[in-house]
Amino acid sequence: MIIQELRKLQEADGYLSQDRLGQLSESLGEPLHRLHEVASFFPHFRTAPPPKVEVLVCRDMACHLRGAQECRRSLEEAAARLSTAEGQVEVHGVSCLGQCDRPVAVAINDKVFAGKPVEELKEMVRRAHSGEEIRPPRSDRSPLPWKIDPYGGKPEYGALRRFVEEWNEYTAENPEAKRKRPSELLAEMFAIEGKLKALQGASGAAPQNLIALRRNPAARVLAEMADGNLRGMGGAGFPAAEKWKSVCRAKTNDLDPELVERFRKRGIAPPPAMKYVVCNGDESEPGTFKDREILVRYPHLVLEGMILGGLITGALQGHVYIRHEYHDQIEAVSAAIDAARKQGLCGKDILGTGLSFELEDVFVSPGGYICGEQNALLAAMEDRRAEPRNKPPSISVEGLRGQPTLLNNVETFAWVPAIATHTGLWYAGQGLRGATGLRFVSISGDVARPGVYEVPFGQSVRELVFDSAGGMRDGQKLRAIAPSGPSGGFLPAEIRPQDLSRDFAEKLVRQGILKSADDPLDILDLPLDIDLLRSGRLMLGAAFVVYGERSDMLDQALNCVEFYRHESCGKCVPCRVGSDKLVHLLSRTLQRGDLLDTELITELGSAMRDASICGLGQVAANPITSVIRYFREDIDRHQATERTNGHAG
Amino acid sequence: MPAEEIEFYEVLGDMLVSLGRSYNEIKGKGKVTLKIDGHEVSVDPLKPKYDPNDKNIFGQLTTVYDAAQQLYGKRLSVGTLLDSVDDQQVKDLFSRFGTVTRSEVARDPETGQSKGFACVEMSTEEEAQKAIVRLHRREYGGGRLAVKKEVETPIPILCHQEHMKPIGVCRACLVEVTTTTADGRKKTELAPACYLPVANNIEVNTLITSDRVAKSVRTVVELLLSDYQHEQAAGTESGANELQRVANHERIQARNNRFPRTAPERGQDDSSPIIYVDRNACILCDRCVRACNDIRENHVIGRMGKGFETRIAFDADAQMGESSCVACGECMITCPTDALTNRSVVKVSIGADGALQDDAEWKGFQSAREEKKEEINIRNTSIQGASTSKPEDAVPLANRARLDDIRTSDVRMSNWNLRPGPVPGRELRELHPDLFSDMSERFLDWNLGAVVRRHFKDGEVICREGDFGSTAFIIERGTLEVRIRTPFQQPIRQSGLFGRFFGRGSASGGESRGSVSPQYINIDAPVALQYGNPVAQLTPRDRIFGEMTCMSQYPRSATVIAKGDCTLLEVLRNVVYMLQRTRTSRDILRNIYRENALKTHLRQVELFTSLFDSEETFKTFYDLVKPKVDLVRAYPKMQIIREGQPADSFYMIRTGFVKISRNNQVLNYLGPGGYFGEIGLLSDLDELRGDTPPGICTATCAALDHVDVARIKGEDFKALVKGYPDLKQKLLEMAKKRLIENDRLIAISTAVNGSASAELESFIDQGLYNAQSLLILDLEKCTRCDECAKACADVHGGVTRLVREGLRFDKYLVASSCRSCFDPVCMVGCPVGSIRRTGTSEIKIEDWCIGCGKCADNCPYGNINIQEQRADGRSGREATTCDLCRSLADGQPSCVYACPHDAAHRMTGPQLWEMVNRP
Repeated sequence: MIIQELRKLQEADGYLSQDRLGQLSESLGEPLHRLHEVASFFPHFRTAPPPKVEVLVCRDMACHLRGAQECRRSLEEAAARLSTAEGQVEVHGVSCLGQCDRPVAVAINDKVFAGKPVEELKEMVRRAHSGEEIRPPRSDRSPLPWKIDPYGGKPEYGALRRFVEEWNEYTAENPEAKRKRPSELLAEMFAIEGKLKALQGASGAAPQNLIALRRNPAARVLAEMADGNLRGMGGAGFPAAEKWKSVCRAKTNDLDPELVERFRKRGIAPPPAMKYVVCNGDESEPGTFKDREILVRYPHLVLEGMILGGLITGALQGHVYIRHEYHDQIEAVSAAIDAARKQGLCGKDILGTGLSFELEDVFVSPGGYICGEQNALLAAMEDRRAEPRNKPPSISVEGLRGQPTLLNNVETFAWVPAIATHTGLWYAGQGLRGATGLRFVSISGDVARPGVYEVPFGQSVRELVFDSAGGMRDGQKLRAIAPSGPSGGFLPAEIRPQDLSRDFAEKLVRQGILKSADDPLDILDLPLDIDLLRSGRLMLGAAFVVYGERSDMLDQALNCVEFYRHESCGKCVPCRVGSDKLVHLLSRTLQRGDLLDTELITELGSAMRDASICGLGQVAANPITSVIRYFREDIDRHQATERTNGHAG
Repeated sequence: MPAEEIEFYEVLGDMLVSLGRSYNEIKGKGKVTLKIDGHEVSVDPLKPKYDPNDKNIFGQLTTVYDAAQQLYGKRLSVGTLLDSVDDQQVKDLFSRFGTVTRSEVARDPETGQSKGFACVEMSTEEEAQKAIVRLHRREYGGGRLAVKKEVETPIPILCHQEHMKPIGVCRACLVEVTTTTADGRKKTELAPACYLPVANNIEVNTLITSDRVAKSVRTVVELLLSDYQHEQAAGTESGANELQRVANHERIQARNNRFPRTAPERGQDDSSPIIYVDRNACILCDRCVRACNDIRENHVIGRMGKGFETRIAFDADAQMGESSCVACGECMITCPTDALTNRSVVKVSIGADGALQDDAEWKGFQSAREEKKEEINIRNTSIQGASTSKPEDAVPLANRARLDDIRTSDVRMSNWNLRPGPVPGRELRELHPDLFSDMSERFLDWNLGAVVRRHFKDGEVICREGDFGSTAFIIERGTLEVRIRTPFQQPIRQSGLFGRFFGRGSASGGESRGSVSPQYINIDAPVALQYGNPVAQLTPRDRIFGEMTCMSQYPRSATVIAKGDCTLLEVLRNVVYMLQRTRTSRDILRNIYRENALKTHLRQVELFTSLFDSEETFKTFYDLVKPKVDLVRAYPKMQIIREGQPADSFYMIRTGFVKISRNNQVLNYLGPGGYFGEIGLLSDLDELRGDTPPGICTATCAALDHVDVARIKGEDFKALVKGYPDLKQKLLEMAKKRLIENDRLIAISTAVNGSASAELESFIDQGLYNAQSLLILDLEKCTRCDECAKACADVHGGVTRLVREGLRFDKYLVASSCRSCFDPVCMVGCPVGSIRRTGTSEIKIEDWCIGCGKCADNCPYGNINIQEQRADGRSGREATTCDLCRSLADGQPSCVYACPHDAAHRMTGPQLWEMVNRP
């Protein structure tokens, strides 16, 4: 509520003044510092009046690689010329805008323009300054021949309709089931299965009631997901069916007394204790923009997945959380929610079954990469600073408003209708080389055709880079790949055998990827297989940033650690202070040619990994530690400069 | 599993249901077993709360940190032993306090000669604590013993304090945790010990045993040091810097030079007259934020900005002096670095001879303090050990720390000049480490004068039975005599609906046995007195007395007289509150309290004492019951027993009030001396057959405020009544009477609208039962002439302290004027202890009030006002409330005296109830 109120206030006034905050504090009955700590945390909120034109230039990964700095400099020059007392133009850097396939991304007064030449951008700034309304072209919403869509581009909700049909049949056969929800029957089934397992192992005949319970359509959909080995597509790759199962089994908690008190103060009835479904559409990691395409082309698939998630886990309310820069996506999803409501696909009585699942209005993120961290995302939805929390408890047990919450990424939900329609075996069978399933990859950087591709798990990096993305840009040689945005660090084109663990190398030999464990590994031969890569301590995400031969990897590493420093929430010490030290140490070498204390950085990196609360701090040192491991020559080159300079001076 | 372990949760059951939230899996009975540094530790998954102010809900769960404290707290080092002392003698010495699991005198490996100290391990931390309290500094075989915990703590902590909700941001308390998943795989990761709840079968390695932990913690501490360590800001009072202490930990030894300083100048804020803010020293541990919001509920401090630019802010980043800060000081005393420091000292004056009355005395004190500073500094560094220790030193670190202890503690008392007057924090920490070592030095310095040393001569009275008080006494030297006068022959009786425990005992009442009016119940004689010789002695080994009077607000239960010359520290109640915040001192208080409270309670409840007419027969009975009684604390609204649930125990109320209800109809309430739970336990007897379902509680008994109950478990209780037919008879009679009365009340309330039950409920809801001095205006007589308020204003410098408005009860208006509550919640949490009772029942606000408004917030009836101008002309705010001023004419308060229509009266809550319900 605070965040929505602040947003309204900012829309009206352009910024959040002290006076207005004070008034809001009184009307909401919240202490002033509570509003201020939220307002000062999120990048979307401003506590000072905005300039007439604000130009934000993306500074991360692909944009950085493809000339963001030069673009920013020339826009700054233009801004200096344009600025007058009545109308200031300010140019700032901004964290990844999710347009990595069309560098350089620039936001002018919150409108995002991607892939425009600098001159065109300058013209936009000039028009904005003269008061003209500028508008970026609308995103392409046409469906693509992607296998994720079982309906040929039409929002048919076939999987949900089939679920409803099956449920009607099931309750006709089992009238006593009619009083219950599918999720309750599912939980009963889990309970009996658990007991059976404890008693006699997995063998033995299932009791009659269990056979009946297994015919519950919720059990079928969940089984398809398990058969298909659908994973969480947000990065961690946790089996989705397992997560859904644990939310299904979780019981609602007593209402948080603080929450009740807050609602009471405003004279509103607190929401009843219920489970929630939350879709994470915050996609803010540099190099990642696949959800952007899914949300705008197939919003109904996401919603259908969420409704099924609600029916299967027993959640009654669904929220879609989308980053505020995704204007078209917010619009597309909002329209799809309206349409679903009108057709009775969600709400109190889904398609006449009496089952209920409400889709709430889109929650527009107040900004910041940290909101992609699931606990931080929930904190933002609860009007708090988006700061991750310690574990336990897990979100499946205690998430939004202290209740069990099914939180998945956009793509994870979007795959559910296809899997429920075509079966899990179909989905699993799409994989190559022993891996299962399909996924979306965003590829950017020095490739000919950056973009979003639907690819099978197990496909090789070569196929991705050369077949899908059209090979290297300008015929450059491949220097490095960041296979998980900045978080996994950089991998060289060729990994030396001493940098591979023996076990991993042997596994690669067994899979025929390496001839001998003593051979270097050509990175292009690596298959996109999370489990395999994980066993070699390599990360595999949805973001592939490809670096050509001209890239300076120390510079790229500094760019990545700067991103983490900008985006650290500041809650825990290792991340807050450590990320700043990393930036400082690296820029000293890059700017002044100081010796880089690689030992200290390695130790700091492992302390950050061990001691940080959330993933952000844990991976923040990966870019530089990977450069220390694989691209030593780039470090030496900068240090050598110092020596030359020293002699010269 | 011993029955005792189960019990606590059952009583706490309700707390868990509402607060346990996701921790359903922990809500169970029995112990959790885990391994810490290779040692198996068995702990309760929940910890008892002791401090009634404790709002730490999450803190109910036992964390890995707590478990480690329990493990390492069992181990003691014993110093300054004569060479002739052997293992067995040490064992004998310590086995008086429990089971000694290990005792070993340290010997030179070559000569076999004793090194003069021993290692002792007790079977529980509680026993070890007891041994410290009882043996530390005692004479033994010609020397003085130095008994201390062996390892300070293998888990350093910065962002957490026990009374706060853990958030785990500083990461100094990291431990390595290995969990075994269901399929047998092991998972190892680092987690903050302050946050992580204990779980079965986890293996924990602290920085003692894990290099990975030590390395990570060292890096984290270095990161902090690089940015936040700085020259101390001039002109501020500094307390111990916890960051530095952690950095000096022998396994961390963080150096400051590996990381460059990157933090920009963050600036200072000296706009508050009380607190100096140095943002450069702030490590963002969030302790001040929680102190301000969770502990004090002032809601001023938050964090602003994000990432490396995050800093604390007051309101919407105002200067502290211009913000809505009330300067309660809580943030300052909790700050682990020098980011928030004292700018001024509250001149607390707790009265009588040791107090500081004028500036000359203050100056004298200050210079004495300066003189001592040097000396203290030297000693302080040697106690911290690590800062002076050199790595190349041949003696192993652990041993050296012990030797240091022995050297300092040996000379401890003798070297100090026990000067009368206020005692500064450093001296307290030095002389009484068991009580003060964990207390914020900044708090003690800020509240200078709240701990005052006094010398008493033979025969001087230190405190008097029946007086209200707000101080406790720590015994430093000498012997004291304790006397109680509550005679065995004249026990306290309950009469009517409410026990007659209201009103204060006259302070100077008759000293002779048998002539005391039994108006209050004695609750905390500091020792258990043998009847027939109602005198006991206290010596320094008893540490402290009088603490419950300032905690519970009940009158002193005994008179304490100096026997020969003695030296005491008189300690104001806010300091006693602070003692309850930290584990060691809290345990000391708790052990003393539990032992004495139970013993004295049994001797003084009418239920038992009225059955016997000789001391011998009573003593037999008493000895039988004593070991079966347990003390349990309940919190406001907590249900102690629930209607319809199986009856499990018998409860006797020691302090506080309990509401009895059935089917949501309030039937009664009980105060100190009352008891409940007997009906459910006796209902399977023939005498009650048919009246009530057997073995089931017939009513719900819920705490109205902070309630201490003495509990006897069902089977023990049944055995007891079997052996004592008179007791059984008495209880049965009472049970029958209660059942009839309850049925009658239920019948009335179902038949009549606005019934007795509803009236009683409103009586309870308005808190009237708790009042000792209500200002009642009879609305049939009152003409609204406002003479009462005018009279009040005349007496109090033109500002009235009463408002002729308020809640109505029957035809009476309960005016907004201090009620002198039996359990005055206004006093809870006063940061400087200036709101208190001295001798008599009225609430007094002393002139060192800082005007923070905590008492006004606490008072549920709005009877305390914050004046923007101080009466004494000094700048700042102050709190005022009714002081029950006596008018010259008839000794009545002015408001009552001034009423021309005989409409205004002062009376207790129960008197009002009787007046309204008089047939």
